Amino acid sequence: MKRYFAIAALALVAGFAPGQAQPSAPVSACAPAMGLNFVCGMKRPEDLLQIGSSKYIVFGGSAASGGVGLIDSQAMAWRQLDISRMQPDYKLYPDCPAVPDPKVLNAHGIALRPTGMAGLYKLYTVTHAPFESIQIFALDARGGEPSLTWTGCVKLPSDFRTNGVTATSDGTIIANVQMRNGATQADYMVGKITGGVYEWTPAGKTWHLLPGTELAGNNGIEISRDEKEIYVAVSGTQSVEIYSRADTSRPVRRALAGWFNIDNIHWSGDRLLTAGVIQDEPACGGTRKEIVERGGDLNCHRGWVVAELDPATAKWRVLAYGPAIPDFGGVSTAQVIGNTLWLSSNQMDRVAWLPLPGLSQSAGGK
Amino acid sequence: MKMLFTAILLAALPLAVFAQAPAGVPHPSTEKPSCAPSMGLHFVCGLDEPEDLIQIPGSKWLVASGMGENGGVFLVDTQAKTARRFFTGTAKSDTAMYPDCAAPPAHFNTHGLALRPGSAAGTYRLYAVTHLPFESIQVFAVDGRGAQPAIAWTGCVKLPADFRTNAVTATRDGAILVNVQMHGAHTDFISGNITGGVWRWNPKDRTLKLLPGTELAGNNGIELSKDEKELYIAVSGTQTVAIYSLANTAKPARTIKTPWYNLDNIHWSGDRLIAAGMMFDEPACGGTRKEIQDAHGNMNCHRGWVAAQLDPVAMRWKILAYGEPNPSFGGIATALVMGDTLWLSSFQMDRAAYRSLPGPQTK
Repeated sequence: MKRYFAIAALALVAGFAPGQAQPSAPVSACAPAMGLNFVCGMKRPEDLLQIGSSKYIVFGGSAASGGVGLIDSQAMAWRQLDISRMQPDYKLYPDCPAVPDPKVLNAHGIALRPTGMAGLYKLYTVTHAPFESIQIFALDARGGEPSLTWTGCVKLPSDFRTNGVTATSDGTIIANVQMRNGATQADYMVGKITGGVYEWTPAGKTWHLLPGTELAGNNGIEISRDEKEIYVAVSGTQSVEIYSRADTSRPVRRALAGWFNIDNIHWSGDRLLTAGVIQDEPACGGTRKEIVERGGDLNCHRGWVVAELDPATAKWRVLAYGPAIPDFGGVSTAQVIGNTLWLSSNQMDRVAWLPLPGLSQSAGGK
Repeated sequence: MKMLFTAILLAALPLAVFAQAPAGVPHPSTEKPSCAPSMGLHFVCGLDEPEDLIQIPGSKWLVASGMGENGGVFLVDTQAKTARRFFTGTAKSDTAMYPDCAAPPAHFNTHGLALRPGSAAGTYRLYAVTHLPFESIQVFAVDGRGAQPAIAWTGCVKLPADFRTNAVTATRDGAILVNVQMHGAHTDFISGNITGGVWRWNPKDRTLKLLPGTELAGNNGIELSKDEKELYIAVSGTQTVAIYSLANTAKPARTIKTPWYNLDNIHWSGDRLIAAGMMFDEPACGGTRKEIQDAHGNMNCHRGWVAAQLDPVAMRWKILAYGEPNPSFGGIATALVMGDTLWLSSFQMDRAAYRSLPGPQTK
């Protein structure tokens, strides 16, 4: 495995990883840019999560055949994880007889939930191809490099465009559906209700809408430590809506970001981190709504923001931000490992990392 | 001119003034890193804490203030990308209008500026907030009709010694509107306390009166609507622009908060009303200015910056440009647009900055 990492690291100099097709996003050099460093060769790594307190990061590749990958945050290298190994739990997950074709499977939002055994996790992936579903894997990080074993899937209605997922310790899956019934990105960008949060329980094995969670572009989702609340990132309103799971009829608290579009929201250690792109980006000609309305380029790279949310007070703390640059766009998730900030991208062939800004990096202070 | 500039530099008195920082927080001496481009910004150096910039309408010239130890009034050639001292002592005093000063101070600094149309096309009155040698508004005549603009001192209006004035504007009838950030013991606007107000100097009776209702948490920049019916006041402590009707200033007619930056100056730039300021919650500096003040941290740490256009009727912001903390540039206070170029002032550096105005064409 280490050898594979090393080979991958060397190959990254050339801008691709062994065995990988060309990424769907335009490839530029993997050289650092505007303070960002890159690990390149992935396929739109929309979401990423640190595995426990280890040096490893698991990510989903949201482009076609993006699969699931693993980053070594010390070696600054990555490899594709083998997702073909399976140990199905048909009783719990009867929807899929076998793991979908690994050459087709992609992964969008992901959730990594602990099991009763230290170092053993359940990995949930929002998967659009070959069909809309949540795929469930056992992620074993108990020895050496983590590995995956496919456990099963839960199918979602084919008209769903699911974005984020989380789960409770009893196996309940909570899916954040960004669009349904033919709604489009443009719809939520202009403020229309397009999605909702759906819950699947091991006992019922059916999806049901959590009433009151229908929002303008449901995006990332996270669950409170005590599993009593869910944090729903909303793209169309640049907000995080916090719901009590006991009564989702209305949010119990709301945190409005205002100046950045919130994409994913995840715990990173004790920090609840959100990431997203600048709402009113001059380099792109304004807000995404304005660009939709004049038929402009929604893929234009926008600046980015990472902010920590105190879910009790609904107050923000900016951790880092950066300008629009050609080399990186579509920032969607942030994780902090030590003093390093890691950023995912929903449109690039790479993830980025940088030293966490702070007083030690204070520019020009006297 | 360069010799004169050098002589004035050497002769200048050491000054200590305050820009954004409340009283009690030391103002930095002027920072002078390399003048090489940095993080997308280019620089015109040789200035001294040019807190404010004003374009001489239709021309390539910018008037720059100088808050530093060798401050004064400067001129920037935006095509040649050079700066020189503009006011060098020429005086045409109007003691009938401005009896407070018989002659220009030998050495003075300037903070906020206003350039208002004069009686003839191409001529202007330049008003400068001045802290040293005494708190005042210094008034100049600027003639922009020639190949090189000319400046002559006209007079001054003295302000109470306990004022920490930030910005100024004036109406066509000669009334001067003074935006006072702090006065007396009222200095901590960063904590949200009321510290300032707008005072109007009446050219008829030469009295200075508070406009009631304009007492805010850190009055900062000020601008006048084109029809001179409204005042736009940038408020540092609340990150808002408060818009008042001059007919009744009892309360703001409209207010708007910025989403993510501190407001400093606000000025017309052609038909654009542009405000600039620094990042409100700056991770590179350890957070908000209030947090840094409370922790007795470094208030001079360079923060990221934002230039934004305000529609004063619809009350909407449009971001024009923003940037990360830059070791070569901090204390951004004014933004203005000339052609496709954005110009930025600084209250703590020896330079102004410029860059291309961002837009889809640059992608």
